Amino acid sequence: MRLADLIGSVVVDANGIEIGDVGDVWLIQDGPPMGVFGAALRVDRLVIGRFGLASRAGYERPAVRGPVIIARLLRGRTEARPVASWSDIAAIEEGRIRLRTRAGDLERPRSLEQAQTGRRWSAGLELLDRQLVDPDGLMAGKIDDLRLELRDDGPPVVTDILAGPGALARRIGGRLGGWIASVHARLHPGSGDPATISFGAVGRVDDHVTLIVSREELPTFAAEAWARDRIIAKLPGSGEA
Amino acid sequence: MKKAFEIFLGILTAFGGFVDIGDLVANAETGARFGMHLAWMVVVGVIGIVIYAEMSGRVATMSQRPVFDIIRERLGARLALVNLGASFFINLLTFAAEIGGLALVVELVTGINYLLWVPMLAIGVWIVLWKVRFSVMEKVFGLSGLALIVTVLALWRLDPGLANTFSSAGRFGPPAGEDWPTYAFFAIALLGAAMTPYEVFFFSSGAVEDNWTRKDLIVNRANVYIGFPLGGILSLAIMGASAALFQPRGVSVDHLSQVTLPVSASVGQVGLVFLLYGMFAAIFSAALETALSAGYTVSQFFGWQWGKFVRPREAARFHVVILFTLCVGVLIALSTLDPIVVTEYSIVLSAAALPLTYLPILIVANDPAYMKDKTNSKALNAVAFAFLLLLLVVSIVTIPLMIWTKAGA
Amino acid sequence: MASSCVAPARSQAAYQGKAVDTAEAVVSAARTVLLTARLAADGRSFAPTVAVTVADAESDAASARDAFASVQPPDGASDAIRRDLLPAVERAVRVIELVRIAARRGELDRLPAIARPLDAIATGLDRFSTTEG
Repeated sequence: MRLADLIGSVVVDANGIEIGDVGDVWLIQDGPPMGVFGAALRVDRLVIGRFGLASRAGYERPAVRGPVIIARLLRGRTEARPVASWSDIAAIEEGRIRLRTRAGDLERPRSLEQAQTGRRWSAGLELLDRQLVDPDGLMAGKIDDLRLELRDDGPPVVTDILAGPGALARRIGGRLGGWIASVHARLHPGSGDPATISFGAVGRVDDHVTLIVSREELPTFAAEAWARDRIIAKLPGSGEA
Repeated sequence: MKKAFEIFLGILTAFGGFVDIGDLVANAETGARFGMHLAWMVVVGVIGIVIYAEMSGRVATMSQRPVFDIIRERLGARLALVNLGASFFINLLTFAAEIGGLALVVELVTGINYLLWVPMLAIGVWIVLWKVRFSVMEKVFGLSGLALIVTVLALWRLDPGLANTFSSAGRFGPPAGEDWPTYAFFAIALLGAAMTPYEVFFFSSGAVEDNWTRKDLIVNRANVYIGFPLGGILSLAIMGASAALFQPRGVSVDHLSQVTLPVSASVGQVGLVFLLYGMFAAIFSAALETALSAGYTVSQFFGWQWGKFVRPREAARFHVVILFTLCVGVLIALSTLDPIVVTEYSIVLSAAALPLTYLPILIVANDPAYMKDKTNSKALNAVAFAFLLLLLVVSIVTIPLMIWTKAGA
Repeated sequence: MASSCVAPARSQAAYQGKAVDTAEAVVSAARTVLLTARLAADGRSFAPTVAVTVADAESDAASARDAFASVQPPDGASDAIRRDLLPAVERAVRVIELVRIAARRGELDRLPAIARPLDAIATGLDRFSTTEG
């Protein structure tokens, strides 16, 4: 399953009432150990409500104060959105998530609070669309999506980063996303999957993601290598700065 | 001492590099038709680009991340992709305008039809992009653009003491024989010419290319706060000289050749040499910047390695995007669409797309997570926000106005 | 900004509007050529630049003439407008052509003499625009 399958899905409560769309997913870092990064990330909460400009722009964080008018306008929209934990979910269908709880019984935290068992991350704010950088400081794409592995003993675990147009297409959604996906499929015949980078390759995450693997070893490097070998290397002086 | 020299050089580079084909065309056309009645719009446009260019430079310096990278993080993948599509298209059109304009300048020097020069000049642009170091490239073309100062001399000679120019500049509203919708349309064109989106992408990526740290923030401020307004004075001089020579005679400016007349008339052959040299340098510099911006925006959206600070083979897709832009730009220029018309459309569409670019910058410039202690002051936020509202209004009325006035015919 | 779209004129007012636009465009081209001719003879410009400037003005005047000539006059009053305007426009275009030919040959000192008729034509067209506009 992919994170893009969760985000944007309509959430319906136990009484069949539509509460809203999944706007963001909070992950908690308390899974099995995954390399240098530490414990793996597991799905913790689904944040319901549109994850619009307000949250993306960071107005959930009190430190972001200006410009004053925009802040006042948008801060109100980020407060007290309902949040469902994995155990509240009854079934996940195509584009829809049915809860076994009623809307009124859902938590409404003011903001992402840290937990005891591990650090909480907002996938939308801190992981998705982050720049990947390899150990040599070279850029290696972005986190376009995350792959989740369903487990019997609890919430799904984030196992891989999905990068490249194949992954991005699902996040974009709609007709545009479908078009991107078909172009990607045509350029990479045979493989149905988007390029996958194991989460074990992640070293550190701050304002960008530092990998422990050189970008040339990543499957996402194929297009760059092709451009380099077929076009750029043929031009004189491509090896000098 | 070395810092002072660096600041001085930076100011001159920003000064000489300010004008591009859009400014040349917009200011000359407006001067001929409206006198100086739209001079205030140039001032507004300069204030706008100063505020947002400084902000984008500061954002890139403090966060070490250029603008489009942050746009995706802040707007989300879908909105940022739409933004990228619009920006890329307008950028392409602007590049085609610049290369067409460059070819027109060479035509003015040689008498040989501009179409023949287009491919050669594009190759020249590519060679400079490929081989010449970023800082050298900026400085050489920026400083050469200073030759355009001859337009100030031309204005002084055409209107000694600038009495007419200033009195016309004080008037608001269309002169006799022109209507408000056309006046508004030309105002939008001037705004788009001054506040070009590619400038912001280029400037912020340039901060990373030049390896700016917080010590360089003062260089950033000086370049932008002093250099750009000086460049704005050149725009006003072009408008004024055009107004002084053409408005009384009922001449409307539709060709780059006409832009040479005020300088020829008042300063003669020597002045013309400076003008042509300055136009060539300024437009060449703009062609470099738009081509690089195409590479920057696409690469920064997808997370590809970008920049002239690495070897081309290490940023292959970035360079492929630039090559693509050059090729398509050449095709557009060779399509015999009048480069002046292409320029007009590019500046007007630029004006319409500005909020897309500027809103994320304003928001990020307030976020301590990126900016550390250098977030915007309240005063700056107030002015920047007012600008954003203006740009939003402009964005909404541009296309209807373009249709209504038949693109200012 | 030059427009090359020629829609038909359905009323005398519309035709009159087109006539005035044409007159203004040709005045602009004529005065550009007059200015350029003077500069050329005074040695204030260069031969290639002069040639390109005059050629540009010629193309403006010629396309204004072509656009106007191709519009069907909707009524008798419009016929009169056409009769008043078109000959002057044709004369202007012919003179500008001669200037362009001399300019391309590099005969810069002759240009003011060749361009001289444009002065009167332009003044006449200005009068036309004021009365019809």
